[in-house]
Amino acid sequence: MSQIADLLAFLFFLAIVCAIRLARDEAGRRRGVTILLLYLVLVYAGLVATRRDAWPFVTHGVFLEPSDAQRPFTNVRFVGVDASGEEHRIDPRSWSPFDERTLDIWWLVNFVRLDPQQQQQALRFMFDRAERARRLLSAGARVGRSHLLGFAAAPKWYSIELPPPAAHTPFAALRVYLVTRTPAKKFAGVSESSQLVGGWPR
Amino acid sequence: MMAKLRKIWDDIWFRPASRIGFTATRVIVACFALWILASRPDLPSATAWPLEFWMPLPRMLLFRFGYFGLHPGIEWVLYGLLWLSLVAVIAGFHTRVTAFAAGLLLYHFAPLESILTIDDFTTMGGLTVPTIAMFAIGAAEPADRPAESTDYRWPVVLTQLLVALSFLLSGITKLTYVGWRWYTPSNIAQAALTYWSLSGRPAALWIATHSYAAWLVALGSAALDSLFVVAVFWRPARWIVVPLAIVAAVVRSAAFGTHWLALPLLLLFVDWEFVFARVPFAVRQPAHSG
Repeated sequence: MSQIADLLAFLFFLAIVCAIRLARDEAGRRRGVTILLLYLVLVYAGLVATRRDAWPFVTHGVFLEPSDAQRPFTNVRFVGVDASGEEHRIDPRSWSPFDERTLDIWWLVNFVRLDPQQQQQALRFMFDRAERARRLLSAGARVGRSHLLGFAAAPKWYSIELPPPAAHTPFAALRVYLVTRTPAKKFAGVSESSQLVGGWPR
Repeated sequence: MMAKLRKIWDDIWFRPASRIGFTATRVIVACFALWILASRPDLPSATAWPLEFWMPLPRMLLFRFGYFGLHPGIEWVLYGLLWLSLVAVIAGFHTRVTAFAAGLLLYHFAPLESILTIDDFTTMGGLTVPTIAMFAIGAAEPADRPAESTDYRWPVVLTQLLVALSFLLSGITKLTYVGWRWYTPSNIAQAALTYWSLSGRPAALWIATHSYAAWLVALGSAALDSLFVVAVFWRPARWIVVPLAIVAAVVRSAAFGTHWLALPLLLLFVDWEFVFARVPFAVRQPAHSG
């Protein structure tokens, strides 16, 4: 239902823009622009009041939640495993055009909705992507966002974790962990904990 | 009273303006969008990801953004058209049509890199402002392209306002979610420690362990969120908020690893008429340029 409402909000915006475009005189265009501006004010006010977004009309920035360094923080971590069993964090550029955050959220929200066979197919695909990117990065090639522009490419907006060093040994498997740390405890020297939640091959 | 308000309104949105500011806005926004797209050269390839990744998504979400099935070939063609339309907008080639096309195609492609999250289109890789601005630019472009027009002002102010609103609305949202406590050094320090625990960035730890740094970030954020919108309507404020926004973007990138991709859009707050009037080698915009 919200998808329909968001679409309608955009279509109404388009209709006003078209009305401005088609207005025959300056007075008509001014009226159209005024309606457009009032409409945008209404939409943004509604979104703020209801605490939601309707892209391209957005109200949210980042860091909205109250911070609590005592609260455990969990995220997904994808690692490649080489033939000797050593684990290597997978470079986020492997998932291009998606980013690691998108894939993290997809994993947490949607992965469980797949049946076991579909889950293995998805993980197999991710393994292939990770190994292909590893090969390219290991050879010094550009991957993902930097493919065309190199260092001048716009980063992914959410690039919290620094990219890992390139792994030079081929991956034989993919593992998925839920990594949990409590910031204040980590500051005091307590390391993070990880729980294996998936992998390919199973 | 009403007449006075109407005069203020007309002065803000419809005061006759030269073509220079309008052209600068058009070129800056389109160049910025092209930069983002060139940094996501493989964006349409998302539609070639296996069905397992798409199956859990609501069909209505895909329909909303114009994905009637997953057809990578078609998406690559549309992506090429988006690039061409943005180049045409930069060149001022049939802007009334090409800007509208660019807006529609940006609406189609911008959510793609986050679409697997279903509802988390918060920042959309910086393409939010260009998407709306393209429609405004296409709607405002007069057919005869006079050197001065009342149509040149409102798209410029609207685009600036969209940039400013990203701060103001974010500030209001912080207040509704957390309240004034969001802007306290304690909250900033704990956020910095959380991000340090994720990334190990020394700058995050530095902010977390130096209370004056957390104070500065808190005050800077409050000032930026509340005052940026003033800069749209009162030019002297730009001398404060634009440098502040640059500093904030650098701090956010270095300490938190979250990048404000719309940073180049701060160029919209330069007085281009002033610049072009004083730069001897600047290309003067002809009144009727095709």
